[in-house]
Amino acid sequence: MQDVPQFVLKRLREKTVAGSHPDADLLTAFAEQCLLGSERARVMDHLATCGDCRDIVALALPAPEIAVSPVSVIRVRRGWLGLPILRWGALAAGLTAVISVGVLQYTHNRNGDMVASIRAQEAVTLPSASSAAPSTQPAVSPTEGRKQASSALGDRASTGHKPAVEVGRRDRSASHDVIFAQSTQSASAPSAPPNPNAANSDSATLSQNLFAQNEAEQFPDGGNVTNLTSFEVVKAKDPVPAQAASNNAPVSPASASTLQTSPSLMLRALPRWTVTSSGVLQRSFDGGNTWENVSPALSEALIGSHPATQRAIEADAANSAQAKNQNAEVALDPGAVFHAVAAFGLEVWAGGSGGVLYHTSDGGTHWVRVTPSAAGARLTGDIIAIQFSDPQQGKISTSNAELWTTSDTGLTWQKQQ
Amino acid sequence: MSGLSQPLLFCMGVTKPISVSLQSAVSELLGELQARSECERIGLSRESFAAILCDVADKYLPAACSHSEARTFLLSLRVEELALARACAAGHDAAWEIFLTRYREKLYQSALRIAREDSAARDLADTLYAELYGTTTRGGERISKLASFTGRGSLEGWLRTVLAQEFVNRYRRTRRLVSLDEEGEEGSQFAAPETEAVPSPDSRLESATSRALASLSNQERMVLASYFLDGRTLAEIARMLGVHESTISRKVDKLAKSLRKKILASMMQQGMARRQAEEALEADVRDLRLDIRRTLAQEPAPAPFSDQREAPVEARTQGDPANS
Repeated sequence: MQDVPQFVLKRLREKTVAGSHPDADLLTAFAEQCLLGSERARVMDHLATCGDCRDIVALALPAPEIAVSPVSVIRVRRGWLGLPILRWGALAAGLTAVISVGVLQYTHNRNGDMVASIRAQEAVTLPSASSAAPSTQPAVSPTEGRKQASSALGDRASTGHKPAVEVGRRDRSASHDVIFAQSTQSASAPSAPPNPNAANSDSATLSQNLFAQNEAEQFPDGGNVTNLTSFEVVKAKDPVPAQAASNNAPVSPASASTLQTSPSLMLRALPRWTVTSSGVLQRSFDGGNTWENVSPALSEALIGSHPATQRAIEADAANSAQAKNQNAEVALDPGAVFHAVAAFGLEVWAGGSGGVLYHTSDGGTHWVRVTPSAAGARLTGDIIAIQFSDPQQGKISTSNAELWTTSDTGLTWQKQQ
Repeated sequence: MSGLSQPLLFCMGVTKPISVSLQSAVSELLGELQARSECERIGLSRESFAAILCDVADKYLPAACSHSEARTFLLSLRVEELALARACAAGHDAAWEIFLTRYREKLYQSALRIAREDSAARDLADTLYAELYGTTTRGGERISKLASFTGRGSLEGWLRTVLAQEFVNRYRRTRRLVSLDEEGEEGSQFAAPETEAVPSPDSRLESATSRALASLSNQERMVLASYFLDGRTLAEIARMLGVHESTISRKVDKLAKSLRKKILASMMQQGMARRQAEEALEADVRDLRLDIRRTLAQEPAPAPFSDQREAPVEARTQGDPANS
């Protein structure tokens, strides 16, 4: 940066215009870019000569942002990324990647049958290999499960940018889910909460398993040639995988794809969060230029219409309900007024009036209402601040001067006076 | 019809006469603004809300404003927060409850960001609270600082600005005085020989500088002063002006270069050789950074004799229990 001679600065420092200072309202409106034409020019005139008022405007700037991603915290004074073309280039590259992921997934879903058959073949090779030494392992191998988990994660990252696409796709495939779920129920009653690891098993495998189950009665002896019969071998030798598979009814149709998204893309998709002074929760995907309203209660209602996902949410809650929690109260409260939001990566907590507290672990696509309770007491006051030092450790302060802390991502809470 | 005439009557009651165009704009928009502000929920009547609108518009609008100007102005106000602040000022409990839940925590956090130190932040926030509740009595009644909020910007931003004003008034001014004194002493050491050694180019430099500075727009002056005088970061200046950081970065660079060029050109116009002019310009650039840092140091430098000073204090505190 070029320096300016000192005598120039001395001259700049001189107060040429004495005039009265603009009041706090005008300075605020100036900083918030609410002033028009002549009024803004008048305040600017004053700021050009008044160091005190410049200090006031600068000091009164809001906190830079709710630090979400480490990338945005780094302040490069004159780094090479300062060139706008590189920033926009990076943004464009990110967008292109997200769009291509979306398009690919769309075609995947359109060719659902084809994908299903391919997946069935993939899945079959594993059970038939393990059929020699049958175990209580579910039909989906751990590596397969992990692969799908990561693809589901990638899916979330992409939905961050294209929520509409995500919702549309869900609706489209929701009916499939219902059918799967019903047929599974008739096959074997789903009882225990599903194994969280297996929850990512894909619908294709599931349908093939059911199919195999039906076929097993028709061809009890079975050959080793076709895919179907190799499934049947699994079924005949070991009923547990089928049982596990049928428990996997609440599957996410999204996981039917094996697309993987790089972590850097996920990082870019992390939204920023804020709460307006009127209590509306908002998020921004473009670093704060545009904000969209987010209503956890509404998205909860949306999810509520989706039986499979609904059950998945409840199952999640049931898992965590081993503590004294009453999670997953699905009481809809569209009029929730938010006062505080805290985000740590994809983990977002939002709280407001009347003890309303929502949590999402996927950047705002699915919300779960959480009611912290400990030793018979429940959080009922207005939540006025949420702080999370890492995804597990957090504390919440309320208007009635209560302090609630958690050290396990909100599973259990402690109340401190 | 009663909806129209009531606010008009009330506007008449305001201390100063209200222009006709403003009156008509207020009566036209009152229903809409009132619905947006939900003022009755927090204890403000329609009449007092109309009076507040007239009051605010009267403060900022020129007397001879047109109807559409008044309309745009009224629509730009943050009426919900305006109503809340004024209801608090009038002492309505429901309004205070909302205000405290929304802003209490934020206020302390903002104070901490401004003062950067816990005890000063608490002090700052407590002072503001006292003013918000209205401890200053004027003619027997309490005047809350919230009564001066006019809804031009957000209430949250206003609270931060008021905190910053208070901070600058109390803390920065004392520090700035100290640092200016320091600078005065040390600045004279290197400023004096320069002016004595080359008296004639100095006057030409002076006039060239004022000419170059005069050619700047106010925004350019503000950017320059913020960056070089106040030591603000590019990001901070960008947020003050609501533009992108890279815009400011380019602007500062361009300004500093063009300022040099203009001063050089102006000095050469006045008959200085190019080399002479460049030398005059370079004379003190080296000391610049140092000087800015010293002037604007946020924290006072640690006392040079702290070690020696602390020793007797310790001795005294150790000795105290023995004495008592």
